[in-house]
Amino acid sequence: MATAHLVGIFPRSEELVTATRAYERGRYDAAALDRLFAEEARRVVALQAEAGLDYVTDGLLRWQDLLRPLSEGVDGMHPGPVTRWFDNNTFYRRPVIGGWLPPMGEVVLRYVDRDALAGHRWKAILPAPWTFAMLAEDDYYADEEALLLDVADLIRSAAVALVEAGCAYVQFSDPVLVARPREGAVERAGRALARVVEGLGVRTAVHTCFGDVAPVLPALLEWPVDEVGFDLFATTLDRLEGRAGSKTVLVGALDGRNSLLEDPVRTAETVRRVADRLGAERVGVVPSCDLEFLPWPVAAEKVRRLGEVKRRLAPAPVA
Amino acid sequence: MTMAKLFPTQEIGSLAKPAWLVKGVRGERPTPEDLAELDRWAARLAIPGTEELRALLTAEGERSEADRERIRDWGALFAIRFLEAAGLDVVYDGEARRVEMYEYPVRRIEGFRFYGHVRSFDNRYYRKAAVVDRVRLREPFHVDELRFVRQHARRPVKIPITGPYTLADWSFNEYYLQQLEDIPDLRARNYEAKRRFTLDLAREVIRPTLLALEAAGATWIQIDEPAAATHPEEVPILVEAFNAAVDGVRAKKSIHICYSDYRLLYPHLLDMTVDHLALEFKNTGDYDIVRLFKAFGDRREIGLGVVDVHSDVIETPEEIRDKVLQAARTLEAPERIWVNPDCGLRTRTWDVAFTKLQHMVAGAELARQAVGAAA
Repeated sequence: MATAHLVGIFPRSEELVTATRAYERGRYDAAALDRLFAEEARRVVALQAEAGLDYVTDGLLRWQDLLRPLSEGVDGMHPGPVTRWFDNNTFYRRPVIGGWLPPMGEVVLRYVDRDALAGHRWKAILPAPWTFAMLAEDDYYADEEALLLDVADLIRSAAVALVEAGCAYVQFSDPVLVARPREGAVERAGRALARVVEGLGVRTAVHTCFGDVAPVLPALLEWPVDEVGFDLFATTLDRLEGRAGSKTVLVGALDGRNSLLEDPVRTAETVRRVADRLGAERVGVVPSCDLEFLPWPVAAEKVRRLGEVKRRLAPAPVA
Repeated sequence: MTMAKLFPTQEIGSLAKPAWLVKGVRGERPTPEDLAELDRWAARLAIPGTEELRALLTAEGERSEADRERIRDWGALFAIRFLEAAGLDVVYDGEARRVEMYEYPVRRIEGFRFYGHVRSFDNRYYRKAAVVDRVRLREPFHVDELRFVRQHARRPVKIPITGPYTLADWSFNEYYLQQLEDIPDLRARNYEAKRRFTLDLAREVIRPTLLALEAAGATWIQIDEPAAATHPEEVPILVEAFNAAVDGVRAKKSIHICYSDYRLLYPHLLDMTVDHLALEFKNTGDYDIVRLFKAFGDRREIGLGVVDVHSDVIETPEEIRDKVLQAARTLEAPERIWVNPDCGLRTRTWDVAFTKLQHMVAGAELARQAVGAAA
């Protein structure tokens, strides 16, 4: 058996879309919206559990973007201008850093629906320090390395809080590494992430998307994390090199950005081909990125197919 | 369409729809506050005869499609007068009849299916369609809309239309991917499917629509391509599709691109058969990017974004003047600069949007005076 799980924000249902829009216009009660978020989180958890996913998430439904719980909850920064989220027709608010960033990452717990996750093996998803630092506007540190270190300490504090809250797996999303490659980035990003994961005591992963992982994959496979994931729809397969060793390779083989539903048989073959190429004994199948780029019903069907692909993969050691 | 004066002003997107218009089209009745707002703007914009509109909005019983269309006409008229009163040199109708720039055209093209909403940002969403069959135009769109604007506008008119690349980029691509299942590399398959989809939209949908608009009197067509730079490797597709769409179109052609890194578009953009590039600058604050156009020897007009459409902070005329002059100095060609907001002002209230546009017009005038004084 291989593993399967989600790697990012899940879309909001039509009901939640309507409610959040109404809330924005002052026509929906905050307490009622909070209850709806909790209900929807339970629904998303149930969907993943029924599909046989190995770790579930609460869908990160309350997260306005991957960086927002930190950018709006931590002293020293605030959510700034609306900015394109990589090559998507989706936008995030760029964190604007105007002061020292204290390690108060426990603020992320406000955005986690722990009741929905109770009784399940659940994973948390956080931005990797490199991605967070590179996507922020720094008006305070004026020293990229100092910023990166404090961001790493902040994200570590968030990860520690999530582990204490019961998560069994923390994924660090690092799309900047592959979407905006830069000389020396992998080494610096790797050092920052090492600072975050040291002694966390749960399974950890780095996941990349929106860019070709091939140039950096050999280095990522040396990082001190248990699993390394990438977006197969942005990667040139023929250039994929590296030895997985003891790492679990997370193959992003279901397109999180297109509604065309993958054939589980062909997708399983693709995952096997990638695993063989990298000599991976442990493999996970995941969406290429967050599923929030899809309408809810399509994303739900992709989750079911994710489970189907997992079942079709040849037996392999479980991570 | 060229202007005798320096730094002419334009709007390059949509305006917010007044509550009375939204409710009127939905078949709902306006609140007293909605009607008070209608009266306030009718007075401010000196629009007579709104008794008919009030009667349409408040009539009991089910609203006919003809009545809804009359309400849309009024919505368009208010927006035209709004832009004229703000002092813009070139106007349209604030896209008062369009749901938005994506869904409106897609609903007029065969081959699409809507599945539901996806998020744009925060609590903002849009309905995203999948292409499930080869695209085909039902009938050219925006033609009646253009005729209405031309009939009522007191200033020169520019019509906006969503471009083929953005329509493709904002859609899920099912049909064209299914035609290419023999390509094993998922990335390569996606690229070719995107190219075929975009070119079909350009040739089969947008070009016949542009020709119909031209026949209806369009002298300046703005093709909106906000997705232009989102996938840098696909800029050749953008250019190829744009050129296919405007093939044989004689009207002035502009492209509107916002929230993008314009560096990614060059040098391919030099091959685009376009007269005017309308761009966002205020959001990034990076007016030095104008150097890029000079460096590549791009001598086409530039629409300079000087108003942040996502903020209620009103730019001062002096601040706008300075940005215009900075760009003019960098470009060393003030005659090629138009002044506009970064994008449409649809997320701002009419009060905020109006003041922003007034300040923009005043800022352009200050810049004009400064250049005149220096000459």
